[in-house]
Amino acid sequence: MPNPFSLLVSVRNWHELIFAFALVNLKQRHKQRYLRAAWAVINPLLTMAVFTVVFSKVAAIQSEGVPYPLFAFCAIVPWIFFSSSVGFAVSCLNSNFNLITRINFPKITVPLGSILATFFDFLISSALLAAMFALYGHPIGINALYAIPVFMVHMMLTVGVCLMVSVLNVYFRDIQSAMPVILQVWMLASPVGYPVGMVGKGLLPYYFLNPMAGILDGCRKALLHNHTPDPLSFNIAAAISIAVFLLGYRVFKMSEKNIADIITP
Amino acid sequence: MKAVVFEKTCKRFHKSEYYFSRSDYLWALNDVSFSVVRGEAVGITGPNGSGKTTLMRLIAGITRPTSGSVAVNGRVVPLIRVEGALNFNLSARENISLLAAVFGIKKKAVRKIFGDIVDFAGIRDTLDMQILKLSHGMISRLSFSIAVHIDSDILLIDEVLAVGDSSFQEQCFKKLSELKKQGKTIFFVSNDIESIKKVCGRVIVMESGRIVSDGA
Repeated sequence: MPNPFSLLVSVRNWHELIFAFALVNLKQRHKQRYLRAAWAVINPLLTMAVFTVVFSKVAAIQSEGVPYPLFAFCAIVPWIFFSSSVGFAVSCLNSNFNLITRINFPKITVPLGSILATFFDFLISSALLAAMFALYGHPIGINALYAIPVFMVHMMLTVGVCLMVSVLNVYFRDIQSAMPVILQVWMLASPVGYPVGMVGKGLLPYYFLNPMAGILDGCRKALLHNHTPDPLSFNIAAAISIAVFLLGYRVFKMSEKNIADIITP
Repeated sequence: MKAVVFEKTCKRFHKSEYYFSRSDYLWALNDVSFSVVRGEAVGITGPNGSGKTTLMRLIAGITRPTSGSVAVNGRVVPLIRVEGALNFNLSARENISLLAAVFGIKKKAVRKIFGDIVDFAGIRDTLDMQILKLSHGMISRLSFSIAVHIDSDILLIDEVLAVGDSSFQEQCFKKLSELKKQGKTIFFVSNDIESIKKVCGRVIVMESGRIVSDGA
């Protein structure tokens, strides 16, 4: 079992390479796109617009007494950070085939760089979320600080899932093919477009086994309602996220030495 | 002081593209033993598919032996088809920073060697152009230049000098003998015995994964 703190040591020793990979990723994602970094805000805004029409206008669901666009955007921003991190991470090792088969370096810098690139987009869309709060004149209270531990759990989950899918995709490219539908189902199983309150009482214990449920609901409670995250759902989410992180790191470390022999571009 | 020691080293690869399937193996290296002392320059030659590149990749630590052992003392900079390691969407400037970072060179140290890399490769005018617009020759100049300017104890050079014009090749051989004088260990893979003789005092000949001759 690798010591999870050794990840922090790798990050400290190789932070320049992680940043270099993040910059290359951003450059690659902006290549020949005239709107460049604007895509970081266009994507969540379009998602919000579609959700507003489908969930709020057509399905007429209640949004916890908050204007629906703000309600949705509050979860869309962290959800898109998670889903695009995973979406990019799944093929990140394969797309660095050229480096991996020619030079020996710590492979973990590749998925970490990919996540960091998505994190830049997340910062931009978070600024937009702050602007939305101002636009709607929605107050932010002291309990908004709970968004920090919620985000730490969110980050653990994201890193764990990304490490796992990136290395497993070297062995089984099936993961890459399955990923779009997995992420779509995962989003529908999470309170992104609808409130947790709409989930049936009988279903809730299972519903909260999805760590994104506790994370997104905790985020809304803290930012929108100046309230502490729901202890039960948040603790479940934290426990599962930590387990996923440890498992992801372990799987990555165990498989790392074989990557260069098996990987295909 | 030994720089590299191989002991009964074997390396096999799956023939199938599926890792978890019963498949035949290709034995790229079969019971290879040799050692190289620090400061030696060793040429490696042999027909295509004889295991030269696999040998280099084991020294570089890119891959691990299936059985036997590989011991390496010192920092290895591999130039194994390294022009393939360059990212064609990036400019020469960005490639230099990225590759240096992959080799674990800190930014401060990169700044010191940046000018030398650019001048040696002779690419100052095209520094900020995507390298996919450069010619093959220019790209291998760039990759060779990056590898030889990164501080290393052991340098692996694999078939890189085949491209590049004659004046650049001269420049490369000059640089290699300079590095040899500095006491670096050099492995030089080539099918051209003449260019091996220019650099190396020892030649290892390989055939189907085995060493068939090793000497001056």
